Amino acid sequence: MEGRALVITSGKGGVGKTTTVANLGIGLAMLGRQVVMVDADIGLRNLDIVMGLENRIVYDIVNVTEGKCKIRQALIRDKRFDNLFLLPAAQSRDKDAVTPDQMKALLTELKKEFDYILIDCPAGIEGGFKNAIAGADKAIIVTTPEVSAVRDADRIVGLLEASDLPDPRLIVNRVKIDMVRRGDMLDIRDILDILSIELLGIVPEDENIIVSTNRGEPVILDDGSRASQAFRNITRRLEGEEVPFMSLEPGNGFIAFIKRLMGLAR
Amino acid sequence: MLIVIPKRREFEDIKRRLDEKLGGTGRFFDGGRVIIDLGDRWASEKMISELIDIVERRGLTVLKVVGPFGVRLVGGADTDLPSQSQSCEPVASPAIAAGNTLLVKRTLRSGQGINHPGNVVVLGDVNPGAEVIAGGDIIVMGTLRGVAHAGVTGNEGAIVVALRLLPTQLRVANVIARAPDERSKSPNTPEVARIRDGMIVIESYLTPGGKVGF
Repeated sequence: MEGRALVITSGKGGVGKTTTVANLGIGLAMLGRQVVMVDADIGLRNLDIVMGLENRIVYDIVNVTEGKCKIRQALIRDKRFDNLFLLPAAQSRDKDAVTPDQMKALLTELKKEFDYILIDCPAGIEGGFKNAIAGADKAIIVTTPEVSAVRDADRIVGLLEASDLPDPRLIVNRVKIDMVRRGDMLDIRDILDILSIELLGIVPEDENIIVSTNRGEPVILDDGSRASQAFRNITRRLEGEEVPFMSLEPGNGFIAFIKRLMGLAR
Repeated sequence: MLIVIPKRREFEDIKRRLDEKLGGTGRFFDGGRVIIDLGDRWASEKMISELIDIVERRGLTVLKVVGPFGVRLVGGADTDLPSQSQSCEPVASPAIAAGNTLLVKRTLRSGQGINHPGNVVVLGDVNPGAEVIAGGDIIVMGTLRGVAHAGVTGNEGAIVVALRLLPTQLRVANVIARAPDERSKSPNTPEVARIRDGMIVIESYLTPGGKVGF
């Protein structure tokens, strides 16, 4: 069976696209899938750093599309999982270095060998975004519970529809539990109301993310953290499993939490 | 003929003056062959092609453009620049013997790179995400945190020296070494990397007696 190419996008920068790609990549690899992560953020490459693989880069995606090397030579095998690979972006080039047609051709090749291709999309809606979504089968939109991020996500939903990538799924990242409890946070239900797309996951704000990003060890590897559990659940949902949205408040029951999150609690 | 582009002048001004100068000589330079030297001035692809345009409109041929990015051969040139994807015969390039050394007087930041057939001396740091590629030796009078590739055309005798040597990745000729995954302590002293027994080894640049180590 051919692999699936999923592009992780957001419009707004800094909401956690790269972190999401790294964690979902490892999560799917943990489930035994053949996974490749493609960093399409050319000129601002980050995924290699988050994965702790920067020191292994010799060739990059532009070298591949320009025919300077074979795909195999540019793929970096993860140091933890044998079935997880990274195709790094070029740092010294700009977004137009890869065209949508080259991206499509690349994905066609990768789909033959991998179950999942996760594409880390650059922020923005210009050329880089259009190149990154070319050839993808499905899109995952990452947003944070902020009006500006949701507005940008909405713009992206529209652009994806226009590019024949309908029905994206949504990850709400960096949800602050105590602020939800106080009712100070943008309601998840309101976000879904505006975007009206399927919810794929809710990831709580977690200080461990910063530590893990700086160390090059994605948080999903850390059993105890809440963000890790959230990402593991998302990977299972990608695999088609029905996983209830986790309780973000220990001992309080997830139904109550979800109700509060959704604004249903009276 | 060598055309040296002054460093601190507006690009539009340079274009105008270059055109005037070449135009003022009638057909004296017609058919001449030109090397454009940008010094360590950065120029975009567009700027470079505009310069080439001006020169070639006056009936001259541009052979190459020399700049902080190294040497670029322009159309009609017979060879490509040595690139890391090609493995060439291990010969010391004549440029190295002739002491063709590029002096880079600034810090190379992420995404910036130097590609030079001779030796490269950086009077500044080489940050992570930056890359120095040289046919000969690489000397960094600062901290090397990015990628350095010395002896790119196959010169296994090439070395990399830095006041602080903390590279993401080091390459000498066809040998690659990468930084350890765990953060390691590095001495706060100059170090030199070179090939020994087919592997890249890093040694102190200074011997215990304080003498230069090679």
